[in-house]
Amino acid sequence: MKIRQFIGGAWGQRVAILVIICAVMAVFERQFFTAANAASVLFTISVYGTMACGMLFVVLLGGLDLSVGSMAGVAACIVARLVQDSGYTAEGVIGGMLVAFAVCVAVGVVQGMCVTYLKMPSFVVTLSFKYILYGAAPLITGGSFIYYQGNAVAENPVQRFVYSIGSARPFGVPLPIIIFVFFVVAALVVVTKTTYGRRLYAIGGNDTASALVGIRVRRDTIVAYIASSFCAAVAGVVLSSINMQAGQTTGNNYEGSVLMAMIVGGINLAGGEGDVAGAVFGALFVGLITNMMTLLSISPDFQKFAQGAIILAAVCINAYSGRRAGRVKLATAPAGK
Amino acid sequence: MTALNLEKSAPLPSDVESRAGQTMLTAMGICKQFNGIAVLTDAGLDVRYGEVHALMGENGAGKSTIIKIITGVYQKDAGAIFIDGQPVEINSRQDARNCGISVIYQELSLVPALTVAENIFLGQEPGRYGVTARQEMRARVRALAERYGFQIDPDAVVDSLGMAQRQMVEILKALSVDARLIIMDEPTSSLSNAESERLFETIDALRRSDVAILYISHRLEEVYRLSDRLTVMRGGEVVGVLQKDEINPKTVTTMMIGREIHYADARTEKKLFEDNVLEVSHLSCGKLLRDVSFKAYGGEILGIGGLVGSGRTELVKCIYGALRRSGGSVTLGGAPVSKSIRKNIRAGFGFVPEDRRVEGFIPAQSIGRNIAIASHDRLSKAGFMNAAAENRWVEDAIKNYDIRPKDRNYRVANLSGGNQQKVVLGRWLAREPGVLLLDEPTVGVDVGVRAEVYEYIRYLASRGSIIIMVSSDLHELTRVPDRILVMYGGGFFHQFTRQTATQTAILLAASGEHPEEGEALV
Amino acid sequence: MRKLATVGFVLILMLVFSLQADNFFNLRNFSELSFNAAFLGLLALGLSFVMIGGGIDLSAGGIVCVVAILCSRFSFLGTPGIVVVVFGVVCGAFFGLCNGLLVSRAGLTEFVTTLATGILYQGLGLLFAFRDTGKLSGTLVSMGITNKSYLALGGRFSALFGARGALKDFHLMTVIWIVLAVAMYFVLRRTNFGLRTYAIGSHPKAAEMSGVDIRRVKTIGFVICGAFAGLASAFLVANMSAANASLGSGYEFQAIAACVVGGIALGGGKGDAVCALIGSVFLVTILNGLYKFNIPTYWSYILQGVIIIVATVFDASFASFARRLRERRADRASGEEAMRL
Repeated sequence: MKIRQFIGGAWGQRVAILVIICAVMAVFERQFFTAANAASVLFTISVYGTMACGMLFVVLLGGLDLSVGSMAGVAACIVARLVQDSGYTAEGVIGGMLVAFAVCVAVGVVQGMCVTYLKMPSFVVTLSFKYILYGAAPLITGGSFIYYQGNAVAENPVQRFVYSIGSARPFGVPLPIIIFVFFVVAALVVVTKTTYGRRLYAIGGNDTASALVGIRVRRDTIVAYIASSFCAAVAGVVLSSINMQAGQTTGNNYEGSVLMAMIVGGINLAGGEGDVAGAVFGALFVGLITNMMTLLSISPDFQKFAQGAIILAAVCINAYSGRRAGRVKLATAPAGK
Repeated sequence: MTALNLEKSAPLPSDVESRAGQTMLTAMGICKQFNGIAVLTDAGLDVRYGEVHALMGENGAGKSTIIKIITGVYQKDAGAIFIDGQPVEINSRQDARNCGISVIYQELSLVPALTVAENIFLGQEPGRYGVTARQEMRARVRALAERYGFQIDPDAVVDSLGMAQRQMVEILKALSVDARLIIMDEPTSSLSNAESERLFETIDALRRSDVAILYISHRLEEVYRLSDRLTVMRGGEVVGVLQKDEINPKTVTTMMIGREIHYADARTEKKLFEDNVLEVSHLSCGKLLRDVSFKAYGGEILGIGGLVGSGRTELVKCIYGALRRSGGSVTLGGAPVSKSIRKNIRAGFGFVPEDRRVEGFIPAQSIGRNIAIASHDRLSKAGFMNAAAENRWVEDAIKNYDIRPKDRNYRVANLSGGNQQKVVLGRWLAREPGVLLLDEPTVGVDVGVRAEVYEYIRYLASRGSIIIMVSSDLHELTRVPDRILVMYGGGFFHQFTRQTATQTAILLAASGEHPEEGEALV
Repeated sequence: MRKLATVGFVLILMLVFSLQADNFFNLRNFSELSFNAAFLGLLALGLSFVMIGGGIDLSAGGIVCVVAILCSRFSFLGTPGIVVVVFGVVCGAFFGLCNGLLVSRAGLTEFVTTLATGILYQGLGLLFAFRDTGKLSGTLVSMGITNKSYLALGGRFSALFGARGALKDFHLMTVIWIVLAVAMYFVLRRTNFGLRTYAIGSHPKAAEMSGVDIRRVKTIGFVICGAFAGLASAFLVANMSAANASLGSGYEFQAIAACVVGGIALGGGKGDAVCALIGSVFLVTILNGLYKFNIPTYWSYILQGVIIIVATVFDASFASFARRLRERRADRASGEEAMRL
């Protein structure tokens, strides 16, 4: 009984999907189960997952953040630029990160204010900022890519620090994974244990009623955009450190994958429904699918097609199951007047 | 100059012989049940060409049900409807339209971005090959307007028109499909006095053109001014049809109320808590609420009566901080009441809104979350929820207020209306608020739950809280509060004590007539 | 009012650019500018139907991409150019229809659906682009178009009909765009369909109560949007004489920006085809000016994002100002009336 429930339930399906993907990979591609590939998959997952943890806040409110990809790019560029300009000093590294996070938080505030005070649709605001940030990245780097000088790594400890975000393995676990897990735990705590998490769900479920029980809807909304921007910034720094470079296209179009993770994770884009576990599952799914297509040497451009198809299919499934749930609800709800 | 104007001397349609006085619609023996509860038992109507026929009755008398049957929204269980003496079956809105019946909706059904002419013909545009014949459209609007004596600019954009003018466009839209019976449901509830006067002129013009008008309103003075005959309904039945010379406030209200019910279960002794006092002075909120002052003490249940649009909802929302005050002040126990809902809740306020689905609960969330949402300040530390305290809090509320099912993880969307209301109410009751503001606390709630709600309210009052209860239910108003303030036109109009209040008197006061009982405030 | 303001702004911009950049005010540049405006304008024109109807379409870039590939492949059959263009329009309309059905019949959220189909169509374009490899891998190649009659359609007027008058330096697409913009102005303002589009954008509930089939009007709007994207794409390929699968990304955003700048509100029910036309000219003029001033292209991205936000803020504050003004006037009128009564 328990097992049947598990398989029939959302979690059973989720695990089943992941297992099936892995099984298919095991059969078709020997490379999949190599250590190098595992690391690559985990890196991808941790970058997407970190972004997803932040975007979850905005999506729970009923919004959408399409600027996370460009946000990551800008953060990466700021860090790279300041680190390079400072000549790879510790101040440069720490200052770069502080500046990057501050800028992204500020942009998050502006986005949140556009949504709350100007009442603009969330996706329009964040889409606009996607392009604004995408355009701003070359302003920071001076138009070209900045490469971390990997060959001097061993000599300069600070330089190693930048490099090490992507490659350090405290306790044998790559640092990006640790960062990812940290954000998952943080998001989990915020969403399930704090009053802010409760308020997020309440606002996403019914903002009018939320305002009438004293929730400061605007403030909480702005905070959600800050959280999303901050996570995107962290993901951007991690990404640039993994790739040892930063530039305009760093993180470009990642929002599509993160959105896919959201939708696949069963998070209701209308707001008020979804959880961290869904976002994590979504990130795992996206990471595995991306890796699978890369290993099967499907052109990265063609992967777009799959991405679009998966998002569309997941949206259809969510809408269908939502409607079925709605029908059940109607049937059981006592008929009013 | 306004876009629409009325000519006093409307030419009668010359091509049609006057049918004034002939019966347009007869409905008789109409019965309707919902889930085994009879809403209409042997209701009937007869409306003649060229008359304004008013339909009155308390909430729940069955007015809107019979209208919905006539217009094809509901199907009748028994009875017959005749149009021009011919029996007809009305099974859909389209059927009703084909019979010449149109409704002017309370929430207007016009598209703001389009012009008058476009709105009138939207959905049935004249012209060939999909190209709109705009000249023809305009000409037809002009002809129609001329026939009924309106002066009209067919090219005025609806967004730029006032409410009264929009209603005239609605009427024209109905007339454009050859409506012979126009039903108006509370048409003046969103109009200013001047605008209402315009509408009455329009109605007079329609009457002269032999259109039959069925006019539903709670406002007695309008009904006296307009109607030729009046049907009064009570408890799903017609209690009488009055001719024009028989219509007067006393008769109508007496017929609407029927036998006065005096409640034996009323609280007799009450103790006032003088230190818990809410003082409202000269409170204003735009045009909706004008210079309202009163005092309420702990232990007191204060009832606020009045029609929709009289400012009663605005009053409680203004006190609570959900609407911005434009003047005046509110103090609680001497301390000024903030404009922030959040601070007010901490100061001991609670508010149960009228439309619980939109403003009350969060449908997709559980009972527990919905109850705890207003008490995060007591159930958390440094922003972290105290899960044990929360569960205890919620379980207590579920037990104390008998919310079913007794499962704190159950989705509120799936609850019955009564239990949903108990969740919204329980959210506040659990806090024992010093001031509880209730807006129509028992609307859409069954009798059993209603009695429970009254019990909880009385208990809270006996512990020293101030209860302010807005209601349109006259039985409730005479039964529960210790004192009743009736609002009219954005201010207090009449005051009753528990002893002087009768349902008839409250109804009269709400319609702008001072009754003998109680004390006039204006 | 709103349109005049935008036109005035465009003229000022042009004046400034002409005075400041010596290579702005010449026929060659205007011909190029008008071609770019026409391409964006066609996208915006189609999008205006969806946006006036209260919707949004983020798949225009994807449709441009896939239609470009389909058209170039089709042209290898040696068909006359006009047939290729018609083919492109039909393909675009089909993809638009898919959007419309998903949104109106399956009841999915518009922006997520079209975002997904946009990515999907772009992927589809790639799928068609890999001609004979049979494998879904490898690098992309641009396909050079060899069909002469098709190529001619993308060129200037002089190439088509010989040198003739003032128009000779302008592209066929520019002329078609202006003709279509005028035609669509009438479709929106003078036909039943146009009327209903405004109705569903402005107040869907009222429209439904008046007997308007919202789903049908919405679907047709998406079909028109797709068809215009197809048309624009067919001409673009002919002009560039090559198609590749990276074409089209970002155009959906430019089209939205053009509509919003022109005065087509995001909420629906406002604006018309002329707004879309003016908006595209505005956007293209700015982009062209930036180019002429040798300002790096990334500024154009920043500018487009800022423009959308600024235009929305402007429209919102203007609308609330107008409403307040109207209310005050109505107050005064009713006050006078009350005095008379």
